[in-house]
Amino acid sequence: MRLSTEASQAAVAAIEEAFRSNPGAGALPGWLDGPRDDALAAFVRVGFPPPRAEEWKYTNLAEIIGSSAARLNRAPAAADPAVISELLHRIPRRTGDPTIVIANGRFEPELSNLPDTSQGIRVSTLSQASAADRDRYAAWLNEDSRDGASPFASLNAAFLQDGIIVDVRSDAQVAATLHIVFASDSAAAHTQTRVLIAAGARSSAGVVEHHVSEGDAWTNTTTTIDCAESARLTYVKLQDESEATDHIAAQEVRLAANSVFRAAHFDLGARLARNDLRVRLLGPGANAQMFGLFLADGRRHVDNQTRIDHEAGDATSFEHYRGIMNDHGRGVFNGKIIVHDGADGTDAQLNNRNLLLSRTAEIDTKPELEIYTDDVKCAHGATTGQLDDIALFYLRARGIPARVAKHMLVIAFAREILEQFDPAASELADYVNATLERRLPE
Amino acid sequence: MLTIDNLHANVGDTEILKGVSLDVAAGEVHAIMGPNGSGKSTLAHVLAGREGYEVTGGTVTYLGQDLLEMDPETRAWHGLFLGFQYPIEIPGVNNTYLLKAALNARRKFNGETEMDAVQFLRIVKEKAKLMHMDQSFLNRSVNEGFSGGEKKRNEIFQMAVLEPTLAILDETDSGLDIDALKVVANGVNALRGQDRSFILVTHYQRLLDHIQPDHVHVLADGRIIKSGDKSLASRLDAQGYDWLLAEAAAG
Repeated sequence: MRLSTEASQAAVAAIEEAFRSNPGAGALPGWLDGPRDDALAAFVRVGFPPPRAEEWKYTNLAEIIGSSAARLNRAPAAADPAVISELLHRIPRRTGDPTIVIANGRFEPELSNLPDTSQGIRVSTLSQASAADRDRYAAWLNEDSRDGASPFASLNAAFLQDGIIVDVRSDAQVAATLHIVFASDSAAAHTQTRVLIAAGARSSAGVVEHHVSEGDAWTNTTTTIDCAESARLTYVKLQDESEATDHIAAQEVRLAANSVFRAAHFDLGARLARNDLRVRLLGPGANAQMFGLFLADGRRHVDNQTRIDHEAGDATSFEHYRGIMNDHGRGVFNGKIIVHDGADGTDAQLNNRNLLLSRTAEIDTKPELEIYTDDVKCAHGATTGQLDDIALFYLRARGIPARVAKHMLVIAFAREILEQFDPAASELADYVNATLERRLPE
Repeated sequence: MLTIDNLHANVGDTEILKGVSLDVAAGEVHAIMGPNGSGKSTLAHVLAGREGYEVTGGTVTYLGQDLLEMDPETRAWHGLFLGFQYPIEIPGVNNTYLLKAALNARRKFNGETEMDAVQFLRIVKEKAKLMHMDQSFLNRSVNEGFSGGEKKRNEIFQMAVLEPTLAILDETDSGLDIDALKVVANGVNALRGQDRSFILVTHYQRLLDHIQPDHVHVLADGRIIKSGDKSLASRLDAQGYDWLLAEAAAG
């Protein structure tokens, strides 16, 4: 059932009410009040997306909207340490990797292992920002109050619990990957968190954002990434939340000249997962490589929206997403590439491949190209298929049992994404393979 | 070892095999020849258990058991091997990994313990050498980016590692140059033994110059219309199939 306009408006009014008494806001410093008020006003102006909004037409927000006011009215309680510990245990990372833990929207210094600042990487939280940083952070929050901001991003800024800021100094070559873990349990009611990554000129670093949960939760998160000239950043988002969690996430990435952004998005869990990735290539020579793997099994719904703006010439983007749908799972992939006027010398490639493992699984895929200049090289394609019968027979004829053969082929399908992204990321590959192995049909 | 009795099979609504009977004893090499479309490949796939090939009549007894009752993997565990005419490329599945999984699945079926990595690697290296295969092939995805000849060589390599009891090679000679043909034939000859049998499905006599068959059969329009020794293959090579087809039509 889609939600009626009246019900949606009532939810917005109730959220406005909840904001006034916002039981979670007490923990934040007063200088954030202004940006948060502005964000709420922006949200109220726009409201939730109507059911027929083009960018939302495949994703039914009725449950999220319907429960949003009640959730936002509850003060998130502290997470159960045993649950968080168990969730942390599952996170794929190398021993000793610096890790920031945010449980139920709150930074947990005891569970975190901050990076060595001598490497040129510094992590801070919004709630403890020094006076010198406040203007910059307020400006960041204000981006989500502008016209055209997503209502979920505005809502996130209005009901913000905390934010993590990662600064990579110019010229720093950071060897260890930084992990930011957002973990929540049912006591969270909702989590509204955000990440800002600023990669300095000529720096090199890697960040993994993990989202895990136990029980019923609603995650609403946004990430902003700024890569300065010639910066190199590897960014992974691994979402493996519980089947009772709704996950709404957005990333905005801005790439200056000659910067290189390599990203991988893994959407493996949640009841409903929606991810909006927007990458803006703002300087010549910028290079964005985006990989994605999503799994929609059971009754899961996974909606990937990507938008790449080639705003400067001689920049390159490469995007490859793969989806695996099973049972009653539903996947959505919408990949938009916009080559702006004057962005001559653009090279953009987009590819989406999907595997349907059951008759009741669904995928809606749509690559979109908008080109406003002449001198470009663009290619896009999307394919959807089932497991290859003859490959299955070949494996069985060699003596591989049918179930194992099916798993082999699905894992092989996923492996190509992992290998194209980073053949050395063995922890990640092991995690994805084990997840697939556990969740694939008997 | 294998007794095929009056086998009928359909692909879709079309009857392809119209009463094939064949006896293969242990240690024998049988060649099945015949014009295009005669049902040779269908026979090979039916014996290996390919879905979509419907057996409508007849029986196949293999090592005293009803072969047609078994699923493809169970046939493999009982030592049946099909060498594909068009070996499948499987990106993302490592060649060696596939073989190890296949070998261990069979060992498990036979109540044996899994082979350890050292033992397995030794066998794989030895067989790769037999097939003149570069070590790098072992760690590549199954047949991905292999040339036609490399794919066929990989089939025989897999056969050598799996050491089947009955190997059915479907047009393994097609698309091979003479050097590759010799390597493939040497691989097969090295595996010949009194407990192992082969069915070579082929269109040409060429392969039989290098692998001497004990029996040659001609399959035409879904039936075996002539059986003989290896001289039959030479006669077919010299005279073609027409005389035989005419004889069958008259008879």
